[in-house]
Amino acid sequence: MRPLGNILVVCLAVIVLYAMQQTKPHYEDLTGPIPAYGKMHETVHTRLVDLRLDQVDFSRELAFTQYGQRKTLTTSGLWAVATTELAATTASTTVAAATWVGPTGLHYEKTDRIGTLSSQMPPMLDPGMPRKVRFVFEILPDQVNGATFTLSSRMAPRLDSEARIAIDDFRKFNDGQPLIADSYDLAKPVPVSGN
Amino acid sequence: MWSYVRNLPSKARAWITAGLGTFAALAVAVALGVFEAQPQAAVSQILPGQSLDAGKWRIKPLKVWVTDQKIHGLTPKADQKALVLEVELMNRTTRSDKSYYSTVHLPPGIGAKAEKPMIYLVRDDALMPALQPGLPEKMAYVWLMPATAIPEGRIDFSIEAEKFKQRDNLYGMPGWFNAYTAAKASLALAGGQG
Repeated sequence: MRPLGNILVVCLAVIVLYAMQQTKPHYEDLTGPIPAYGKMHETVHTRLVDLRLDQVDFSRELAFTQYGQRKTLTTSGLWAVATTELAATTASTTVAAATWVGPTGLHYEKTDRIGTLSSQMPPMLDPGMPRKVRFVFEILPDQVNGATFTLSSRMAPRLDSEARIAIDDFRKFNDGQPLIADSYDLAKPVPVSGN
Repeated sequence: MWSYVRNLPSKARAWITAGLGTFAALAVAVALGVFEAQPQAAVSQILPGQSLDAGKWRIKPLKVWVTDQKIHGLTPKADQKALVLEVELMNRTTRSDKSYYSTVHLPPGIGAKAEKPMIYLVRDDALMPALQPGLPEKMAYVWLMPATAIPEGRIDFSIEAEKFKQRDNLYGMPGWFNAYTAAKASLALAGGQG
């Protein structure tokens, strides 16, 4: 009887250990970003930045003025401009990464085609002094509905908070297709409401 | 059987053990040699206008030409010419990416004489912008080289790709590793422009 019991105990141990090995979370999942979820028009708090996503616009072309020259950027996809209000929480900080995550999980980082336009540099943020900041993304037209805007202070946050805001409020037609303007002008000031 | 071995003098046992190791090493060396000597799979050829999935990128070589005029923001010096390769690149990954610098290589003979390439977005001459997932873009690789180093006829570009690994060995993070030559693209050098 004793040997049989021993064999059973060993089998049980094998099963338990195998189950633990199979269900063990990976390093990548354990040290991933800590999400702070939110909706548009409500303030989302992360460790270093408080933010509110106010407005999302779409356009076929992106216009701006650089070194006194008027420039127009075309795309085979769509320009998406996210207007946010950002403020640092406790200390001056900056925002390194903003991403448009499509409904199928495609990650569109903020575009670098604009070059060194001062309004598109990583913004310097100070506590108690909210700033309007626009982020520009170049996306595929089918990545609009069900998308998420993510923002974090570092490029790839590990064990640090990342804001994830569902993009649920933009101007659209009855069939759900977004209203796409011909051109969006980054040289025009950000609309500021309330003050 | 084992009693014989156990009863051998220790010197004899040491000889046998060392001999086993030698034979094992020989066997491994022979196996590796056989493996190396096997005919390598031929690198496939692609034609201009034909697209190829090479690791991160879907690449479609379009045309190659030579000029001595300013091209995409790069001006050749007096004794230089620019070799321009136009390709269509599409990001096959799920993230914005700009690591297409080593996707296209000149043949080594020409590459040794040429400067490092600059890569421009043909649409508006942006220098090495990140390409967005699923958005094909026309890119131009521009190599400056001495006018005498410009080859004639066809140029065999090699297209490099990497393999996706779900978890790397250090951090367990997904990534692209182990570059290899995915294909050769043979393009006829179009003349007439400078």
